[in-house]
Amino acid sequence: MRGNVILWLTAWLLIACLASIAIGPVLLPLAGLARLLGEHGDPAIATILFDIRLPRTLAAAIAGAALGISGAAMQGLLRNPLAEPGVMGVSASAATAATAVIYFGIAPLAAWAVPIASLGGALMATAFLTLAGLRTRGIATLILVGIALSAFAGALMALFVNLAPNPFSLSDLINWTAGSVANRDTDDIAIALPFILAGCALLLSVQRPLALLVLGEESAHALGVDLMRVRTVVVLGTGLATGGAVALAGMIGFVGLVAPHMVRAFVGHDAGRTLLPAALAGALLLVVGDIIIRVWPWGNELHLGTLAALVGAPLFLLIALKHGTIRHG
Amino acid sequence: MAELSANNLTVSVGPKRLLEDVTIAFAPAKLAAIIGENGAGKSTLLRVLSGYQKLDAGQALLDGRDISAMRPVERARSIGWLPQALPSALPVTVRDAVALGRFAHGGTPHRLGEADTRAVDDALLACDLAEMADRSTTSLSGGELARMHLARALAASTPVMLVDEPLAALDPRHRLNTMEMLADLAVRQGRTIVVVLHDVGLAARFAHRIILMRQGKVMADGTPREVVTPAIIADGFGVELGVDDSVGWPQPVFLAPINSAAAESQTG
Repeated sequence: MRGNVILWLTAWLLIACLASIAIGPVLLPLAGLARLLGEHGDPAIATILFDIRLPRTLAAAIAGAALGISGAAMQGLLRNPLAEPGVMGVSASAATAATAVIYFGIAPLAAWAVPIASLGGALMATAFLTLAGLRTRGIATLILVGIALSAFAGALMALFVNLAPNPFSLSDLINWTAGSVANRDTDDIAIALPFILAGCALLLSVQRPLALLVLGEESAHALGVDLMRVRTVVVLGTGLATGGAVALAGMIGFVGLVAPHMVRAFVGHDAGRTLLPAALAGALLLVVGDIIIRVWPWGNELHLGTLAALVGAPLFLLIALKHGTIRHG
Repeated sequence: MAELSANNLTVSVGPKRLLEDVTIAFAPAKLAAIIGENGAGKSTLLRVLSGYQKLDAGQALLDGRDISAMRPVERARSIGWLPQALPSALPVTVRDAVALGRFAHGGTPHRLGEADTRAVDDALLACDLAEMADRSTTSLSGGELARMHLARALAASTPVMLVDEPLAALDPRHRLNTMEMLADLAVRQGRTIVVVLHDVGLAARFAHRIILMRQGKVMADGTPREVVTPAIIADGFGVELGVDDSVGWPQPVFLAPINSAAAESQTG
């Protein structure tokens, strides 16, 4: 069953990626692509394919996978169906750290500065949430902690903008906070990808113990789960994956929430077994989302994060109501 | 055969002492019941013996080895612990929830070896759950859920079992079944079983040994007949006790609470 889901998701992801490469202001015919790229082909087509569409598609897929797997892991670790990097303030913390590096002039010193800062912000946020998770009871309290963290990170970002020696460009700020994969090049991907892969590998290494956390920490300990190790690995893994995703695509919320819920109907509620399907579903969501904003018929191109929030926020509400967290705390 | 022992255990949370200088040992093939009023330190003692609770002083040992220093999987193969706080329902079937107990043996609900399957089936049968094995745990009653968690602890097949208040949600038939099963596991399979109970009558009937705790200390330790006496129970619980010996074990009959002033003058 799970194997089938993984196969189906992979197939749909491939189809979505091909569509994403083909669809845009200039429609690229996939069938004749080889001929168009050939010796007598149109150099503009090659530019569109290799410099615009392919990096953009890859960036959407990679960021979506990172956010999807991070959401599934956070939901498992915190035993909270509403946990995800965006809602819990991890993405905002990563973006704030990245903004600080950019606007205090550290970014030009090294290509790694922004992703490293983004990772640092994400790691600090996940570590803080895990500590808070140990001290709070009830699903709603931890979500409130996440919302507070998110608001604090947003305020810090505004503060950096005020203090920054360089005049802050509003469109840059919007790019970070609204999230986008437009205008990404292969260098951006090459910098973020190793961190995201490392994060995914870490998370997949705790698949089995993650499944037992549903019993509560005491029972998981009793059955042989090394709680400290699982917590550390999930904090590091989600920090690396989310930090990498934010460095690549800015803040895109709700993917980490929706992707695990999408696949749970097919693979069940075992948190460990949700990881890989959630990564594929996250990638699929962002690639499809990015196609939608490109063909969006009204006005300027919508930001990917805005679309994600437009679709994700009502779903968040639905899931919250279903679990009774709003009425019963 | 596993010998569980604890030397000079002391645990504090803030200014409160949960355990104070407790030294105790549990032998194989015996069912030991820990009784005591709320907050006496019973659950804390089990948490220490399972390696979960950090100690301020002292040491908990399994066959002479420090439990807190054992590798988690190795510890979990030897010591089973069913804590008091358990999730109300899991979105999985009863069989899959019980199969989680096989983690330390390498089994998962989706990949069970022959030994894993046998352990899960035996546990389901022992806890009277075989007929509802494929139901979702969300459809279970409180008592059925409690039996499911007990089955999960059983499926782990550990020589030591620490069971914290397993009877609270159970009806009389399943209370008796559970106690019979625990006594049987100890005697027939040589397991070391420690169970925290509020039902002193069932402790007196089924346990080979009763430990009475109060304010983080062991107040009395002996056979049911040695511990279930009016003087000791008055001291430990603050209740006046009658003992009905006609049933073959010292069946307690709780008569009336002793008011604290009277209790003070009695003990002090």
